[in-house]
Amino acid sequence: MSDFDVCVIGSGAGAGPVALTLAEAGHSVVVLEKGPWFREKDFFKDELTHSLRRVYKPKLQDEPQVLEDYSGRDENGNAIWKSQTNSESGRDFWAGNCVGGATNFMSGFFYRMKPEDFRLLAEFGSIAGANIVDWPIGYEELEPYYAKVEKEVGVSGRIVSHPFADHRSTADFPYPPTDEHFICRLFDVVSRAMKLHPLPTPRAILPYKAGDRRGCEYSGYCGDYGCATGAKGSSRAALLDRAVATGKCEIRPHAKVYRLVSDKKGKVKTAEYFDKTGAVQQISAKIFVVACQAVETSRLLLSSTGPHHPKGLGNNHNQVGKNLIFSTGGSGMGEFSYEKMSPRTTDLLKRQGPFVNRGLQDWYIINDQKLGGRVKGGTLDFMMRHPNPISRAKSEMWDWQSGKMVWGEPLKNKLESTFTRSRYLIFEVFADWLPTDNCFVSLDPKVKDKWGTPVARIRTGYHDHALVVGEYLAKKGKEVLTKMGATNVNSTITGDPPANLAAGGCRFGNDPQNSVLNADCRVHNVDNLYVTDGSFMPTGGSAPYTWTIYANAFRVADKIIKNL
Amino acid sequence: MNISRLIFNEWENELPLSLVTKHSRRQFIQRLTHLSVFAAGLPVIIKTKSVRAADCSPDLIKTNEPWQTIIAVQNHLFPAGPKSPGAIEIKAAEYLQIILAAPDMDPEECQFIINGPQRINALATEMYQKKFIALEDGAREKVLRRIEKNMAGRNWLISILSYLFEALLSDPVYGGNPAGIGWQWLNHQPGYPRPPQNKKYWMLK
Repeated sequence: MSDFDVCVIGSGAGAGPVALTLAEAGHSVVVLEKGPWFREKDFFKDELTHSLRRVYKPKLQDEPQVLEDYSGRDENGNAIWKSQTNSESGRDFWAGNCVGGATNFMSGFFYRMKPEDFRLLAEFGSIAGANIVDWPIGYEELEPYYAKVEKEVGVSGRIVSHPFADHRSTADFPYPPTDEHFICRLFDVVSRAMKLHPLPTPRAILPYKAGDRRGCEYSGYCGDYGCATGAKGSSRAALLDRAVATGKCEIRPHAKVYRLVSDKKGKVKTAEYFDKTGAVQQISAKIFVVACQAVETSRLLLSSTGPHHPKGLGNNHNQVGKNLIFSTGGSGMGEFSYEKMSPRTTDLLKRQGPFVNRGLQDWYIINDQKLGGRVKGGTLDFMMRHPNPISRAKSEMWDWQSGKMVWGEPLKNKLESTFTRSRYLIFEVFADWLPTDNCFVSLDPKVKDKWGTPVARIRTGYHDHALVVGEYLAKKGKEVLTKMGATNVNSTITGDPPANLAAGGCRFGNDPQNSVLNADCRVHNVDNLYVTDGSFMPTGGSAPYTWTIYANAFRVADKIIKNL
Repeated sequence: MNISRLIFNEWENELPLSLVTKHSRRQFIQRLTHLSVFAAGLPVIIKTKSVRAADCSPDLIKTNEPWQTIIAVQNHLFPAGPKSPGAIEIKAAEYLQIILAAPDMDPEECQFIINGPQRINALATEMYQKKFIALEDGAREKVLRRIEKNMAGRNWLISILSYLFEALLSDPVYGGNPAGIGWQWLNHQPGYPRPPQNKKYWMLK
């Protein structure tokens, strides 16, 4: 007799849809989350809490990771990978350690993947050094679940005609767009004059009250911040609260799962975890679902050796942790100076709260001989520079040319200038991070966390092709900002991976030799183990992953019901 | 070895590794943009060895050291202007005391900040035969610019300035930015809801 029908490990975008679907279907569900359980009443617009202290991420001395960075080649031409714990490097891949995970702190820019993204290899061919494969499912299989997310999570938006418009089974979004900033008008006019197609960015933000969630109150602090109204479609606010309300779902915060115990036949029997006091606890279930973010999911599977899985669950073919992907790859910015504007325009530009909600996908597929013909492009997403004042002030303590520190009157003049004389419009570039042999998760043989378990060792090599595409897109973004009248327009494209946009590591596919999961996201040789976070993605499309992770988790939830 | 070299060598031995990574340019850029997708491409402070964890319970009397020197440095880095608040008006020293005493404060970082004035005064004495607070503005500037060239000194200055910015622009609930004086100066509109007394960051668990 099992304690629960389903045990879900993690509580973010891959977990919420499973917990809600299974609980609503009458199955008993337990969700084990390593972090605490914050509610709306715990979220405030406090930059210290959200950006400058480690409230929603573990302390690195408690839960380190080991990062491997490329640092040139030796005399034989072999790549050298330098490893450091993140207490040395200052970087980490933790995101949102609390109930609801990183979805609590997302900006909620929601893009579907396009049909071509599901067959990247067939559409665009192979690229040397990249492990590109097609997905075992097509867009048409995921489309109903994209539509389901719009309704269940709450996606607001507006349909426009567009060369890369989504194929939809529903006529429109269930919620109209959130209030838009004045600069959208300028953006639309300029974009259209450039023969582009300004795209209202769908957002996982409610424009008005729905159910127990309040609508957005436009405080101006959204991305990186927990939502105090419940308008943001976090896994917690949109799904888990409802799952708990069914009476069939229990959430256990402060439950750090460190091992899944399997029997001689390879079936998972129990999850072992440390509770808040550090005591070991155990839970049995008929089915286990792992969804604790790409890096940690691979780490847990690799840590869960058993008689049938000597190298870790699902790792008989050494695929767990391989082909980790991130979202590439940079951003740009332009300054809009008040002195060139009328008082009325200045007043409108200063307004804080309404969203920019604009993207460009005119180059989602690029046909340009400069790039060698038809290649996969990506998305440009536009937004106002984040209002976080302390972070902005800190950037002014440097003379970026000389590298010297600035203080005294010159510092105060810089602060006055950046805060009171202009606003900045930013764009983010999303291109495909190509999976390679140099981007993966393994277990570090030496470093342990505070519980004494091996930590993740993460190599983050990138493919140069992604940077070429990124630069192409950034150039387009800068052209738009310049035509809008921005000055000091600049951009940075990089292969430095973002911590909050990780996927892959347990890619799904039809061949167990080169994938961890089958098309239903069940581990190939384990009957009762599923992975539903972004780990399943062999390639990631050219947009933030969250909508796709949500949609796929709803899809897999339906498969799990059939398996119960 | 000359005296200033000795001062800096000793100081560098006290520099916590955690502080160096916290002050890396990459961290600054990530926080600035919230994109998390940047190569630095800018000078990054190199790492140094970590030091043994230490308890940190600084003297809180502002007329004593290290606060006399810290306050003098804060005033030099962030002086009041005719229409703008300075370190005193934003309660930079009071804020720093509160933050150093906060439960989540890294004791190594705390100790590093508290020990800084010793080094600064040793250097000021070598350069001018006076303590830092007894120097004129021009001499203070020269001492701090000399300190900036040293890795430990630079990190100390970054710490002082970083917490000064927090005193200027964090929510007044934390003890700086009285009545939003920093927000008013920079026309900054805070978000809402604002944190109450019982929801400061170290209370959220």
